[in-house]
Amino acid sequence: MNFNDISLFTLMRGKLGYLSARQSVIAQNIANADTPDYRARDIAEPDFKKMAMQAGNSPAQKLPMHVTNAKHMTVSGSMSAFEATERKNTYELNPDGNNVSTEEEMMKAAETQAEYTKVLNLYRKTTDMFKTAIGRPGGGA
Amino acid sequence: MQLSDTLKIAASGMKAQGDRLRVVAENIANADSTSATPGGEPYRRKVVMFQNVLDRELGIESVKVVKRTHDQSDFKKKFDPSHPAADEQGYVLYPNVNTIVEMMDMREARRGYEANLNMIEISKSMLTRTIDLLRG
Repeated sequence: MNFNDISLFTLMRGKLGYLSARQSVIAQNIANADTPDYRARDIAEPDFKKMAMQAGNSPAQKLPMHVTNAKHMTVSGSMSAFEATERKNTYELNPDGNNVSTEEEMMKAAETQAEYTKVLNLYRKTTDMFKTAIGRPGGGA
Repeated sequence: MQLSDTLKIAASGMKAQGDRLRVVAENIANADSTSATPGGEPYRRKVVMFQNVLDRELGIESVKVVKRTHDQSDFKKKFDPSHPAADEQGYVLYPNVNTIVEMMDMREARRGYEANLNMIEISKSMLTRTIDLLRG
């Protein structure tokens, strides 16, 4: 049995990937809170329902690029499937063209962390369910 | 982007704010540094510039202090003919450092530093929780 075939796991994996990518973008915003002309960025939430429907086809595993020549470049594994775009409405805009509000970013960071913890707990519960099924002691607690 | 990238980005932010704090300290320390020669220029206030730079190797965008420039505003002038740095009219030029402005800058740098530190702590706890899944 492959865990990736279970849509719930695909969904959780996708969500965890999205949340950690978002956390990186928030860190970037905070690091650039005093950089002139920097605009706050964010990642739009992907359609998780669609992701669950096509299990095993999460954004992390896109179709590989076809290589017909040795000089062709392939997409490196480090490339993110999530794209950060400029945030539309922010709290403020500084005279130097920077619109990062540290408070707003901290709030979003806490929000992302809470979501992340939620999904992790869900993951643990689901694996516990499997453990109960296979009868491992302590698994069904 | 991964959680470990978050740590690197926040660390770059902390480094940039630390650099800024260093320049503030230089300015405050030199708030009264006049020229050693008569009529010469005193210490000129320094300012830092932040820029968003792309780290191609890691694929992350971090922050960096790209330039240290000098504040081109006018020097303060004081009448003190007995001072060794006084010009023919008896005026001494003092640095264009305003301690209150520097204090404000210092507070801002500290707050920025703290925000980055918070970010590291949040990401670290997220990472730890993920690793804890292994303990099942």
